[in-house]
Amino acid sequence: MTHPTTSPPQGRSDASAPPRLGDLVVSDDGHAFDRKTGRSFHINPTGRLVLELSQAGRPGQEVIGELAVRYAQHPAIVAAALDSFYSQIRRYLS
Amino acid sequence: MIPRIGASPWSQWTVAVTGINARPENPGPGCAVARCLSEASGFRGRVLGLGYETLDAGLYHPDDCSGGYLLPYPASGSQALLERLEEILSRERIDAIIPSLDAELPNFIALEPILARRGVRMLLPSRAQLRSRDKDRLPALCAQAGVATPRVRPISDVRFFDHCTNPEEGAWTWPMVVKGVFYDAFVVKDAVEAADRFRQIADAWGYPVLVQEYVAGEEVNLTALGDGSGALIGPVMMRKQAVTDKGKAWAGVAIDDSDLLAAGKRLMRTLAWRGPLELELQRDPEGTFHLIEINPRFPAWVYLSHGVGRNLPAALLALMHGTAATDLPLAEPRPGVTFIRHARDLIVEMDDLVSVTMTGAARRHTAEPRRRLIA
Repeated sequence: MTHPTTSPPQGRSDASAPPRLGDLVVSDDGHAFDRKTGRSFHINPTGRLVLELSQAGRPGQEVIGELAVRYAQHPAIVAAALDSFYSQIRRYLS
Repeated sequence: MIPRIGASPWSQWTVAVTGINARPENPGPGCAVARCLSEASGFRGRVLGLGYETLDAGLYHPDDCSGGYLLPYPASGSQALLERLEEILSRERIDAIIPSLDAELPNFIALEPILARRGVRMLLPSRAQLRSRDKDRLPALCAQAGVATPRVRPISDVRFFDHCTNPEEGAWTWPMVVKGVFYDAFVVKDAVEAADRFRQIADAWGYPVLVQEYVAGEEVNLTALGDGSGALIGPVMMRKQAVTDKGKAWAGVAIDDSDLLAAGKRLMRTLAWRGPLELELQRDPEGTFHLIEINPRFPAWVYLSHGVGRNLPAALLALMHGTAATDLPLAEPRPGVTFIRHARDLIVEMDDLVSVTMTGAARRHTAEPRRRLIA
């Protein structure tokens, strides 16, 4: 099991959600199952919230805004962290 | 939810199943097929095991098979098989047979019309269909279907491995896979290991031995039914999570992969297959599927189909009875459902063993629950 987490700001963020997010089935306790590949991994509560918002079709900027408010962070910091999280999820879904 | 099959006539059938050997590292599919039928909701029929050896576990497993018989080995030919089946049919009615081993398929295909006249149903590929999925013919089939497959070459001379990396021999690279025409496959890293496996396979299965390019990635399997129309019926997809020394799954998880499904549909359309089959594919790191083998029968993990609400052996009986594919009781895919295979000891009374050894027939088991040993 691995634990995707957020990381410090790194470069520009386009906050675009990875493809195939809809293939992820996430349980309440953070167990994520990729129905296409059969792979499983664990996601922390922040990541779960991001997936929940993304899978609901919320645009990247809305996700950033929501996280910035909820965690009292500057949107630029949230955007960079989100970018890092998405790139990690992309690797898991590749 | 697993749909009920209702009171269809086939739910009362006596069904004979082969491939009931159950060695833990490489079990035949028969016991899993029998278990699917025994546990199919609404099934009131009987399942008979047809084995080849006295120690085939399905002959003694009352939860799966209510009786059983020994058959002559496939190498004995179709006439010997017919004589034995007629002997069995003189003792009890059989409504359907589900052959579950590759090597016996040619004999059963030869006997299909004769057995049909005796009221015994089977749903089998034609001889040409069976041949078209032979391991050495996969490249031609896959070219037609638009599915990737690794290069394969039949060889009869072990010295091939000394020169196979030369451009004039095809510039093969290590590792590669050495495999038998019917069974066994080994990934080999160099010429010495390849020669050892070549001899091992030739001793067990004869010539030619096949070499196949190795595809890195993860193995995924798909099992389904065909009715001859080219439709892929009731597909169940699985990714192996843990394998035995022989590369057989002892744990796997149901998946729902649209790309794998599309590849399966293309292959099925090309083959117009009749009966059960299993596709074995390797998904490379770029996500491309490479067909490794097509098995002309249910896989040993077919009990997962029951677990995900797509009891394919029961659906096969319905197809044999003439039910339209669209009316089969098949649930939506349930990715995430996992199977874990385990070995258990079966206690066999001496009388049961003697019966099989001396008469070729297992004593009839009643449907009562497992007997308990009292210390």
